[in-house]
Amino acid sequence: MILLIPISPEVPKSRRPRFWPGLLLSLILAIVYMEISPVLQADKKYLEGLSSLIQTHEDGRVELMPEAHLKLKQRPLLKIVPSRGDWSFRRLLAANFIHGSFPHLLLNMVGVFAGARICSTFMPFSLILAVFMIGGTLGLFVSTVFTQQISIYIPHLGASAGIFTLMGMYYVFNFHYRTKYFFWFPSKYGLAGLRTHWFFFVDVVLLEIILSAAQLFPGQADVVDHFAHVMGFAVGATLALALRTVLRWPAFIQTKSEYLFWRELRKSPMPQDAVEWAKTWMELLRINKFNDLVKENLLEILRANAATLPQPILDKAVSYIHPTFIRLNPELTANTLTSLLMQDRSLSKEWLERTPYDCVIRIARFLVSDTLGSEPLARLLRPYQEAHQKDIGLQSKLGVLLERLKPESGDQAGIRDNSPAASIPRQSTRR
Amino acid sequence: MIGLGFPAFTPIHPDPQIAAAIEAAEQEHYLASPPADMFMRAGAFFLDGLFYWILSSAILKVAGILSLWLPLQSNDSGVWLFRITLYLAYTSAPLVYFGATPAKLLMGLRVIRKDSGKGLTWKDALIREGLGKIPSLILLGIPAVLGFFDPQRSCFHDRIAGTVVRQIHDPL
Repeated sequence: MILLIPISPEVPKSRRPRFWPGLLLSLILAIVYMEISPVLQADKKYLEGLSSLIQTHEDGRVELMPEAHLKLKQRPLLKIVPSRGDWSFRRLLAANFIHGSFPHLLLNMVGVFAGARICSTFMPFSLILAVFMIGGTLGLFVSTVFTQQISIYIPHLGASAGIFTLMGMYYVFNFHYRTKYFFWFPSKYGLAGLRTHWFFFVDVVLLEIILSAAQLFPGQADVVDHFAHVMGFAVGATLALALRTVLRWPAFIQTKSEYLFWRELRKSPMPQDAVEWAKTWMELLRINKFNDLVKENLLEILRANAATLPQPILDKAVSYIHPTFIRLNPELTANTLTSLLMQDRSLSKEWLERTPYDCVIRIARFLVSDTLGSEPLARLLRPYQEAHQKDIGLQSKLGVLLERLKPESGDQAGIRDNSPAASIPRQSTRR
Repeated sequence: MIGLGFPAFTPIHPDPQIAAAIEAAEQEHYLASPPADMFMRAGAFFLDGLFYWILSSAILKVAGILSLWLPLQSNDSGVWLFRITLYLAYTSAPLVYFGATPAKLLMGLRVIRKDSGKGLTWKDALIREGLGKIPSLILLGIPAVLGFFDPQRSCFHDRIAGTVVRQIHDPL
């Protein structure tokens, strides 16, 4: 059960998921459904008289008569899909592509399309298909063996375990990044980039774990095979971890293109100094400008080498600090800017022009400190004011803020107070 | 929620002058920001509803499986009391500590006092979410439609609590 459909990992347009892997897998499911429809019809006809073999006790408990078990054992569908009392490896494998009804098929076609599509940002189609089949088969096997049901001849089928395997792969590969979800029309209001590590977990895993726990208690279960879903997800996550280890895929790499660049880089000697490292991180950001982990690494280089980095490198590096990154990482951004500003490094005018005022406000609290006072903030606000000369409203806001920051007895904003009282360490307060 | 850079986790400088200057700048910025689009707010409401549903269903399911608390295992007044308390906690606590509910934060919206631009107190939040929104929900959201016709986009629950919703930045 998934509440919101993940549309895409947050990646640049050129790295967006491809359409055809999802479409191809969905078409395979549809073709298989058409092929086995005579079996489904025969199965439906065969089960018509089964309701007369169901016994309902006074306490509401439902039980099947012994004849019903025998009848279920002979049902046509069990010749192609597994059940707890009668299964084989071939049928487990085939069950990934077989669906019991049209609504079941339709739901899983949507799921398979979404799963295969989002995985195409980091996997080729052959691997997607292999992972889908391995995880789906294992998920169905565990669910077939462990689920408590009214009869051991209840069939287990459907692509959902495989879909959850793909979701598990996606979860591991995109753990540190954001996923775009669609939830509302018109789409400009209804697309939200949610952090994969918590929302994907809540959306896909948490509900399934809770619902699959219910599946272990007879009477609490529904008709959905949650157990297969959880197992499929676990297999997908495990396969992803194994694959990442074999490929030596670092955690800060999100897409296939970044990985290919990193693999080539590993073949030659690794960068030796800060400038080379800064260039490497910027090259990765040129491939995927949404990669916040690489931005964190780049900002760390800027912070540690604020005095020595050449100005062109600095300007280019700062241009990758986008508003969303500032909003999500205000403290890291502020610490880097403090280091740069206190080394009298200038920030590029283009970056100041395109940084919205809400970002400045958000990092303002982190730009003031016990030791430096409001000097870093004042040093940011002055060029920011110059860069926004055409915006009269903003000019006045910045003017008022700079005026307010001026110490009552000091000659300039943020001059360090060297009085004895100022040397007493003060506790930061929180609102 | 930690890590989204919300104000509750942001330190205020110990120097009262600097702290006051930054807070005043924030409040002025919030007041000067445009009123939030009603479709955007409806989207946030829908998403919050989903988050709330996940949370309440998960708790009720776990309570049912583990037989934790008898009133939570049947569809009676205990369940309703639990759902309403959880709804108030889910909506009011983020309003007080972060300035908006989780979905509103994702959409770049902020709920502030109409007169001062300050954040909401517990009293404001409970009036807005309890006395304002619950009757509105019972009346199928009709009082909330008022917002479409108001230049400040103030719905019934905003008017009753003296709040406005502003678009502080683009959706994340």
